[in-house]
Amino acid sequence: MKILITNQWMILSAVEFAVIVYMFFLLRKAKRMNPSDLEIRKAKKSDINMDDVMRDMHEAPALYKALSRACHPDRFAGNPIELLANELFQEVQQNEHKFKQLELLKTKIQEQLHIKIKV
Amino acid sequence: MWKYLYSIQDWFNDFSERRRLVRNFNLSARQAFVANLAPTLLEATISIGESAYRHAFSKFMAGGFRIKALSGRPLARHEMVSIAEVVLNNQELVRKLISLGWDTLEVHDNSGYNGIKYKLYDYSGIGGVLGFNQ
Repeated sequence: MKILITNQWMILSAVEFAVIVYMFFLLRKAKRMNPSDLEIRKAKKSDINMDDVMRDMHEAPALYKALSRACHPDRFAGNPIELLANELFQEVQQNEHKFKQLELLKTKIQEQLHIKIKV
Repeated sequence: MWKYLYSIQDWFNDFSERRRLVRNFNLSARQAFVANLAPTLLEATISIGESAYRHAFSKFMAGGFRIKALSGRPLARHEMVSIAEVVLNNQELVRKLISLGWDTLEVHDNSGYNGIKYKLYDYSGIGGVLGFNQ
């Protein structure tokens, strides 16, 4: 009976040892990472405001539409500020889904093109 | 030895961080819906994900970030694309999703049978030489 109990403990410890060896193997495998993987690890620490994401999702489309209409280069054809309007229009297009940037662009457009934008 | 203990701690931290991100998303979506800013209520859940989109950090059986729109009607494809595009254009968010083990972005409605799936890694802008890929 004593021998049987000892054998059970031996088997259990052997299984535990095998699990530990397997975990070490997995950890060594995980350590071999390429530079892009390191970049991903860095991203883990970034803080994201979900309210901004919601604004990008629901409020940005209307603002984008209004801004792209307001500073469309066709509105300023033959005008000395046509080039400026073209630049601003491209900026608006690049920030289509970014509400914060679009709001900044709105004030910039109003100041530089001397127009009022209603959203 | 401490390194290994820290990696185990990291593993648990990842799970709490994932839960926090999903909770924050749902909370913000609910607030936007209540404030009448959003026409549909969005809800994020964790799903299995697409096995073909897996990467080095994918979580086992939990690689899908699913956004469900409680629209009450089947959404058109362009409506689902517009929801997904906001997430995919936010590179910081995409990178965070990838680092926390998600590999697939899924968008679908609550009444239709169609949905869309995106491979998150393709939208992360990762893969260049360090410091030169911006």
